[in-house]
Amino acid sequence: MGKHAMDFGIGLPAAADSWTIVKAAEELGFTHAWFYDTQMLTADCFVAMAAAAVNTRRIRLGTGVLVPSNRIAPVAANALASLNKLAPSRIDFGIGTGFTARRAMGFGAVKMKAMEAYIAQIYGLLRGETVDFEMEGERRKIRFLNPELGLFNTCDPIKLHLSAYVRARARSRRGLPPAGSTSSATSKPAFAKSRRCARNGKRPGTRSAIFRPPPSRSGACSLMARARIRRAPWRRRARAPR
Amino acid sequence: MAQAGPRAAVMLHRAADEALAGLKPGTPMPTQRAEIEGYIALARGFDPETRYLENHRGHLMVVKPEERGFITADLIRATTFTATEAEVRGHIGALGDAGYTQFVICLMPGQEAALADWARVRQGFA
Repeated sequence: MGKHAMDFGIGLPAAADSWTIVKAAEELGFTHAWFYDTQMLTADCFVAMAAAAVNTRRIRLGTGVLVPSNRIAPVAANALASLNKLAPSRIDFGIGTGFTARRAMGFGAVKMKAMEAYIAQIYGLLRGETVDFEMEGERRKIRFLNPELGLFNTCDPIKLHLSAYVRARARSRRGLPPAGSTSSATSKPAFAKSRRCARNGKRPGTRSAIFRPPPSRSGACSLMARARIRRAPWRRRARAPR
Repeated sequence: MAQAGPRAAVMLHRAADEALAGLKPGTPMPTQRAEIEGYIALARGFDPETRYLENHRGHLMVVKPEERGFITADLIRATTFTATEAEVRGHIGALGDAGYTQFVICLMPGQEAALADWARVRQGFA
């Protein structure tokens, strides 16, 4: 047996009532639940995750993995932020270029460059930024227009997880050795740490989490959200004397 | 078969994708195995226009009746973490030594009882 502690997670085909399994897993000490996002094979992962979010307290919930082409960036960012409202700081954003979800529809993987742009859009939106977004051949600038209303949560962090295949390709492009598992249950949502770091005697931290709340919203996020609601223009108008 | 077979079948599906549609498998796969060659031959008989539909039906969830003959004990052993409990603990420990921080169990529909078995394994790494 290894000398290092190991987190245990479950990966499951999303079912509308997956929360019952996730709740049982939480009670048994599992730390993560990863929901397949394969539209032609399973139920919608965000529906399943939402039900799990309101029926659990500690276990982390992640997409395992979401494929950029199958959900446009504003929809995915909105879904993640909505889940983050139900389970603050318990949401993981697993993403990959797509095997099952796209192959079940006869398509190959998306390009790495497209996925990188997609991730930048998602986290730009979650940071409250205005991002470039292209749809139907036209480019527009988009952003969340009313995050201050507290309908969803863009304050608490959402960790980014890349699939083993994506990481392997990225590492290959940088001339680094492969880090992922090759044929195990861990390779679906992959959680490989760098073997290079392991060889150096280091235990690298959780894989990249590039989304951080903007400085102006750090701290008591919910309190600030409530304060902003009180200052919301429509409320000021409602209270203004005639 | 019900718990580990679907994971082994992933290799068959990817092999067929690669052989018949030119899609790369992404992760290294066992090669020159009779099971895989046999499944590719079977997949050649799927409707060419919608071959991917038949190929991916049940993917990572169930073993289809027509592919069951290719899911051998040897293929399961080569492509999954199926082993005795002591061996599984050893494999997971080795992953921890290599720097992995999380082990994920794929639960198949209808096989949720496996959760209790894996919880017992987990306790050795808590």
